Amino acid sequence: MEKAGELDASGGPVTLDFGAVQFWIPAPIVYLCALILRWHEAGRSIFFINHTECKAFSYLQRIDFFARVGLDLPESFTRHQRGSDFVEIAEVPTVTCGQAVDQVTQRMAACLAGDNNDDARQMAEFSLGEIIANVQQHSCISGFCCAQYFAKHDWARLGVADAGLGMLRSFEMNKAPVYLENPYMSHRDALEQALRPWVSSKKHLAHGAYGRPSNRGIGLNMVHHMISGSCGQLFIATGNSMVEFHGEKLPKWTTFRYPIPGTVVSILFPRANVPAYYGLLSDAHAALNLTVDGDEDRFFV
Amino acid sequence: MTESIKIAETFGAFASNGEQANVFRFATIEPLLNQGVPFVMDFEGVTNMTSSFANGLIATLVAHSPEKFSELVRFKECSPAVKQMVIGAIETGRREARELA
Repeated sequence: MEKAGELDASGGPVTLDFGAVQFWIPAPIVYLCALILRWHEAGRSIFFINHTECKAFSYLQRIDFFARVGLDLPESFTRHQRGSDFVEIAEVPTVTCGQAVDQVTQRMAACLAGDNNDDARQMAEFSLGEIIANVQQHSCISGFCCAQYFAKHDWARLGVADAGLGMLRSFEMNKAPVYLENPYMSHRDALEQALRPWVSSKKHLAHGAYGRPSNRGIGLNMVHHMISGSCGQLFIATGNSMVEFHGEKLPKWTTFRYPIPGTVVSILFPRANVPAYYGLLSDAHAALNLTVDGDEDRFFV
Repeated sequence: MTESIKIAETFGAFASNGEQANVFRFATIEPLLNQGVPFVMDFEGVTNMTSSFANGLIATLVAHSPEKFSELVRFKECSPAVKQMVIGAIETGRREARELA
């Protein structure tokens, strides 16, 4: 991350040396996609070296990394039907057309959960759906997502990233109340606010043609609760700040020397340990004081 | 006559997009509510949803028209998880209705 910010700030040509790359994980690889496209659009020269010799070369081809960044490379393997241990990099468009994003979300959730693990599937689906919604509502630019299951350690990983506005700029541009109260807020302040429930850079805005915006600023908070409740890990980086949550432990904060553009989210959870999804949802709602007051059953027939 | 609206027919098994929920509420649900037509949102086939979707579809309805919602809107075929999301959205809407009052 530190290097990404430094490269972005340099403004000059970029050389990406893949020589030491042996494997891939979703969040960094989708963020690299987003950065390369950002640099392309800025007219910067980008050079790839040692990419065809690196140990991860065919894996990177299989997840469509090179195709996504505009490198048309011949494939020396036969593409079989989709495996169960990864889903290719998919674009998160700024505007949803039909159910394309839902289908990608469901495919990735199915990959992460495997067969017969509805709780893991639903938690992954919910998390990915909420984070993709954040990209669409706040980044002002397309993002990317990807999923991977590492059977040896039972690790289910997903990554969503964009090189767009980032959280601080989104609060600033939308004149969010939390920003107006603290116009000197740092990237870390913005990230802390984004994790707080009922805080959003959009919900205060004037109602559009269809009424108030749908987001209430609770999605990311609920994702955090669910991942923590599943002994999982959640990483979020924006600007010059990154926070890491490991299960129920206290968060670890890191400050980068160079801010990164956009936002990167990485989730990792052991899929065999995911508790009942209904319980995770109930706990997340209880933390938001959205508890049942006794008369809700009359709404259900 | 109670109308029935099948959510899965429009949004599939995973109802995720809050903006589409907003449009659907505005174009399909609110006209029924404004005409005083009782209706049921049928969640058969919906296995999961995001908070944006639940709030765009339900919370805004509760916040704008709490009495009509209470009188005219019902839900059916909800899985435990979907029911939990619906209840969360109703509570969110009630909170907003209190703020608007």
